[in-house]
Amino acid sequence: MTIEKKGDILIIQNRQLSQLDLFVCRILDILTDYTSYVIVSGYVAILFGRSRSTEDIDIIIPFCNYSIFKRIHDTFIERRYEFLNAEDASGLYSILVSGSAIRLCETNSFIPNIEIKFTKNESDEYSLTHRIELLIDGKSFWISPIEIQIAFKFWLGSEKDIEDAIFIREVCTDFIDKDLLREFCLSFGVENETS
Amino acid sequence: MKPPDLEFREKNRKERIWFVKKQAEWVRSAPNEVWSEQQCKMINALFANKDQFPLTKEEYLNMIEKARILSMRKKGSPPLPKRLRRLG
Repeated sequence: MTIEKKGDILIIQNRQLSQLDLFVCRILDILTDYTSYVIVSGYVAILFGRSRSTEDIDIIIPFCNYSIFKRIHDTFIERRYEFLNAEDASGLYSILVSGSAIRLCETNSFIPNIEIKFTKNESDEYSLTHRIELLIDGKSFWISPIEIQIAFKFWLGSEKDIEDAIFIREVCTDFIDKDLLREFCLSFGVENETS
Repeated sequence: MKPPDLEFREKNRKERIWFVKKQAEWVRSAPNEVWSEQQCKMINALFANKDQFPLTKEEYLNMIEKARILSMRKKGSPPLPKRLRRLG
């Protein structure tokens, strides 16, 4: 894998985009008209080449007022997307405000889907504020900083999460701030070393 | 059904981690065109069957909710390092 770093941007050239990547791109193209976002969790590992798929892509967006959310909602509906949660715009907004996530998918095709939630804690805020741009053949993906992503995956603790963390750590080793990763791991109470 | 014993699970866990490291090593060494083509083939093959999912939307959401409750995954958020708190 060749990853270039230009300033704060990571660039992966000549990487084929899968149907999953293209699905995510279509959603992000719409979402970015209204809000910033950060991709977290398993899909980050997939962007870096992990050979697995996922049913849901986790995205965090900053809190917004109802009128902005309603515009986001209406645009997605107009473009033949739907929300899996059986709610109207107002109900969906209430779910977000309560700290839960809503799921967005193409109409009548609920896999894959995008799980969207508002920032609700300091880790989310850190990920959004310090997000990094990953440019893949001209397409922009804003992802969580790699160090917090790895430590957080170790903290979540399922086999899949730990494997994703190890994969990202190994593939991105040239770009990781090792001191920062150590700091996150210490604060999260997790071991970075695995055997 | 009798669950696998701890020794078996530990062996399996170590094998999986070994494999993930080997896979990462290969991805690092392969040109972007090569590893991404293989990843694409696998994901696109799964994608081709996405509409064959045998659950309704309601059943799917219910399944996710139950899986989350039963999951060993931690919930919530761990504390950020002190120097990074409220920098947002």
